[in-house]
Formats: sequence, structure tokens, C-alpha cells
Amino acid sequence: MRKDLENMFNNLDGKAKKQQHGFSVPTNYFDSVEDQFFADLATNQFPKETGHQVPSNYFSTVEERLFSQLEFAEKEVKVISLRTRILRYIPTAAAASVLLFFGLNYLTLTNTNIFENISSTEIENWISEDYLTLNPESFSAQFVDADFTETSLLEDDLSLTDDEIFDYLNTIDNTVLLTEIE
Amino acid sequence: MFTDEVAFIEQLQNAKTKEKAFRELVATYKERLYWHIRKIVISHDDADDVLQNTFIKIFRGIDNFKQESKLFSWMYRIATNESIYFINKRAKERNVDISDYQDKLTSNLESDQWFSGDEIQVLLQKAIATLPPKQQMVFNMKYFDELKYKEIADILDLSEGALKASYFHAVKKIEAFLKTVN
Repeated sequence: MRKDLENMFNNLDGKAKKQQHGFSVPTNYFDSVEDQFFADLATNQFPKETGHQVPSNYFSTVEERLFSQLEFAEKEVKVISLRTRILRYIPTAAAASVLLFFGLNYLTLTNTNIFENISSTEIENWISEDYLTLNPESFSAQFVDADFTETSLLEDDLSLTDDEIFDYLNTIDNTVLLTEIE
Repeated sequence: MFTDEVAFIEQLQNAKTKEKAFRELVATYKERLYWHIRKIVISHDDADDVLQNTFIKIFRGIDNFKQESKLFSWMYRIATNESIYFINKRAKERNVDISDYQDKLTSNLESDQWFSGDEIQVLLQKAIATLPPKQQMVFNMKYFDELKYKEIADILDLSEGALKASYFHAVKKIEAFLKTVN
């Protein structure tokens, strides 16, 4: 006789041990079964209702309120592609670059190098062609607080030493000086 | 409960069928999730806020749901996390410990217009509030929601053995609390 069939007949005759019935229980089941029993016994005395209530028709209105929020939430998380965002800023960036270019190359030079770049000849031409409209009276009117006396010019503003004056006289053409004295 | 959960999740993840399927999902689970949340946050207004947030999170997260757990367990987990986050935030706003905040909530139960429980129901809620947060959830899900240990284990990501021990300790503490006040 096959071994498995022999076992089956032994079970039917009650000759086999109970553990051979084929059933099993979860691991550690018998460790917790007592706790579960006493827990169930204790909770039999507890009320099964919490006592919490909800307003009438609450559950029939909750869905509509939820879906109105969902539509709002979906609008809120609208995805803007990186490409669209970059394209939006390109004109602004281009305009800023052009302004920066002109600012750096023209405005800065104009402010800092204007007198260095103008030659004496250009200034003389500008004056000789009557672009300078200021006469001595109007010029002095612009500097009402200034004292243009000969003494102040020599003593305060020029403040030249005797050696510097002699050096100057030695370097210049004497004929020009004599012409001016005449 | 959906007979073909895999097919239903596909509908939820398909843009064309998402809204219809989601309406069905909300209709099926709104009350179960509401009562799960309400037992944690206690107040109806707070439960309503958390329920809305829960469904919004579900709606936004359903596309990334990998079906590593049951849909029901996944939603319950989101509701649990949202509820815990909510009461933590409220406790921090009031600069109190979370257990002190829950004690305060249950101490005002009798004056809550949406609570109509009798004396023993009030006492049971106060007893639950004295438990650590995890034991509270295990007790509520096992005793009131009558979930299986396997389902609770999936939601809370705990072993069944740990859950049984936790439930047993919770029942013993509640029993001791009720005996003390009686």
C-alpha cells in the first residue's frame, strides 16, 4: 500500500496523532490567543458607538465641495513648460543685453574720456565758429562767488615758485613774450 | 470594494476616465474615511477639512500608485497621515504637546454640537485620548472599524504580532481608565 494512503487510513482509525491532521496555525498564534480572548472580553463592556454626529446631508454635499476644490487645485498646479518660460523671457533678455552693450561702450566712455578725446584744435575751432555764446559778463555771472582778481589767481590758484617761473621763462620763445608785453 | 480593482485603478490613472472613476471612489469610501479621520481629530469641522485634503492627495497621487498594497489600504494610510499631520500642526500652533491637545479636545466633547454620546461614550473617548497615538489608531481600526489585523498591518506598516500586542495593551489601559473613573 502507498504510504500516503496508509496514513489516511490510520487517521480515519484514530491511530495517528492529532498533529497529523494537516491543519496549521500562524507562527506564534498560541502566544497571543489568550491576550485576544481577554481583550475581547473587556471590550464587550465598551460602547460600540462613538457618539460623534455629522450635520444632516453632510455626506450628500461633501462630494460637490470636494470636486470644486479639485478643479481649483488642478488649475493651481498647471504645468508651464520650460521652453515656454524661456521663450517668454528672450525679448526682455535681448533688450537688456543691447542696453547693457550701449551703456558700457558709449555712456561710460562719454562720461570719463570726453576731455581727453577732444583735441585743442577742435576746441579752438568750436570757439572760432562762434559756438561759444558766453561773453565775459555772462561768464562772470555764472561764478558770482568766485574772486578772479589778479592777486588771487597768482597767489592762491597758481601758487608758482620763483624757480618754476624762471624755468618757464627760459624755455619759451622770447619774441612771443616781447610781443605780448608790447 | 471593487470586484476588479486592477481595472478600476487603470480607470483612475487614465485621464479620460479619471473623473468618473474618482467620483465612484469618493462615493464608495467617503463615509469610511470620514469616520476614520473623525475618530482621530474628534471635531467635525476638522474632520471635514482633513477628508477634503485626503481626497485631494489621493486624486493627485493616484497616477503614481504602484499597487504594492490594496487601494483601500493606501487610502486609509493617506487619511491616517493627514489626520496625524493635522493634529500635530494644531498642537504646535497652540504650543502644547499632542497628548495635551487631544485631552483638551475630549474634555470639551459634551459641549460639541456634533457629539451626542452618553456618559460611557464620553468616558471611552477620554480613555482613548490617553493612549499613545499608534495605540489609539490600532484600537479605533480594530474595535470600531472592525478591520482585520492583516489590513491594519498594511495601513500602518506594522507586523501583525506587534499590532495584536498593541491592541491588547490599549484595551487594558482603557479598561483600567474606566475602572478608575467609576
